[in-house]
Amino acid sequence: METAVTLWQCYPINKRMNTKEYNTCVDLYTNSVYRFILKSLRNEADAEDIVQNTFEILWRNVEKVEFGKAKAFLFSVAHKNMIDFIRKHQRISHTETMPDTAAISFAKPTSELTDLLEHSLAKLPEVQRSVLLLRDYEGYSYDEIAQITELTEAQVKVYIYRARQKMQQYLTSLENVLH
Amino acid sequence: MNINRHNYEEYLIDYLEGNLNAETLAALQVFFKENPDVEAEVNLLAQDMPVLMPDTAVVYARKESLKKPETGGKTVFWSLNYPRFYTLSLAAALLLFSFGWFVMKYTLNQQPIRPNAQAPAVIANKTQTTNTAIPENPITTMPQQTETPPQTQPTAHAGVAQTSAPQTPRKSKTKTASQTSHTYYPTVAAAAPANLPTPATTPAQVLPSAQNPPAHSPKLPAPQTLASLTAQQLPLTNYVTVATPQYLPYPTHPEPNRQTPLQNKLVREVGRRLLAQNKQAKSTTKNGDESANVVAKLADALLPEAIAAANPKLANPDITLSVTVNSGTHQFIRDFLNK
Repeated sequence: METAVTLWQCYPINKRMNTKEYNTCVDLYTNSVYRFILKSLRNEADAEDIVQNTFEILWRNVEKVEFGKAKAFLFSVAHKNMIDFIRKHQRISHTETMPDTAAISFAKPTSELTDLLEHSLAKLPEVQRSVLLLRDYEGYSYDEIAQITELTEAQVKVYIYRARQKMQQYLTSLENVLH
Repeated sequence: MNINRHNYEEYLIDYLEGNLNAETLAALQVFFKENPDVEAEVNLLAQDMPVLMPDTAVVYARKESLKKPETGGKTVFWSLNYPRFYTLSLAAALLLFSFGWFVMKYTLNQQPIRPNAQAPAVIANKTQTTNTAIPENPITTMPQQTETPPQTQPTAHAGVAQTSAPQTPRKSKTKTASQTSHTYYPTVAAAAPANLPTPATTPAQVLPSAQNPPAHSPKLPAPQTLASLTAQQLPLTNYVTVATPQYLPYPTHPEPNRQTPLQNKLVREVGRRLLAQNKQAKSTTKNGDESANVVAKLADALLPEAIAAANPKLANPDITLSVTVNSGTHQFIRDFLNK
């Protein structure tokens, strides 16, 4: 399918993304978005669908998004899609009651500590997991996380504190069981 | 800063990461002393706080399918952009039409047509031979310049003025009634000096300009002012009643203050020459031709409408002077009359 550069794109719109920059975004942020969604949903097919939908939305808004803000736009759209997906399919109960450990077996064998962290992460509520992933995986500031997740900065800090606290409690309980 | 059990959690992450300022840190430490269970909980988390590390092994396998082909910026007008092309074409056509309409309208406004030709060109005077208050003075009226050299009708009294007519540098064309169109339309109802001699009816005679004074100074009486005029001193027909500005009830021109018609220039030229003649009359002695004095008397004969209304005997409605002027010209005439 031939893509026509429309006449509007001849106008000097400031910092408008073009096709090349969009493809650069695909190269740079696809894995990050996919990892973020996969760690939350723990299902490859669903995560891929959400990633594909997220980049399609970016392509439809390619003339409205600055290249420097494309990453935040992608994570924001992906987070919203994930929330909609979770609420639609009610996968929160499934993942909490029966973690699909087979779904993440695609990766190469990881260490024991990493597996424990993955399990502890799966125990977290949806919003706490999202903000913690954005903080630890992507290194976003609390203000940026608040913008992506549409929360307040104080809420983000509280959720991250509670998430770390719960993960520590989970890991501590596992250690007690193992020992 | 008030830190209590309802809001302390939002400060703990910054406390664990060492990002609290001194004031908040002090307040949090006070809170810890008051709540040792919270302090123990935070200290426990601080000993081994779990931090996730990104799993770089997780990759999106179908990344290439998300990319879009780069066509190199080819602009397609016809094949894929029908709506935009036609929209732009319509916008361009409207823009050109608007510009053309504006130009045409502006051009037409330069030559407005006045349906009611009430404004005479310069002076519509009516001779009156009954009163001869200034019988010895000839009159020189507005220069009626056209494309051809001005017509001169030599008279015995205005010979000097005729000689200077072709040398008059100012160009002031007599406008026809159809060329005078103003919304601002002060009417000068004149009780013109009926005592002026016959040459007053020859508008082709030209005032002697200030640069070209007459060869010999005319006999000029002391110029009269309005303050000195009384009904007993001067005949009634020597006054010209100047009406106050009036706006016509119908619009005659969309932009009344914009144009500067030649008629306004003409009236201003008359005013300037009247002033110059008046000053000259003051400085000259009473000898020679007194033709220029007529102008001075004509200037003195102008009577504002307010004074005419207060003294109805001063005005003679038989002779009217109706000139179409704009606001600036009217201001000039009013100032001139006040002098």
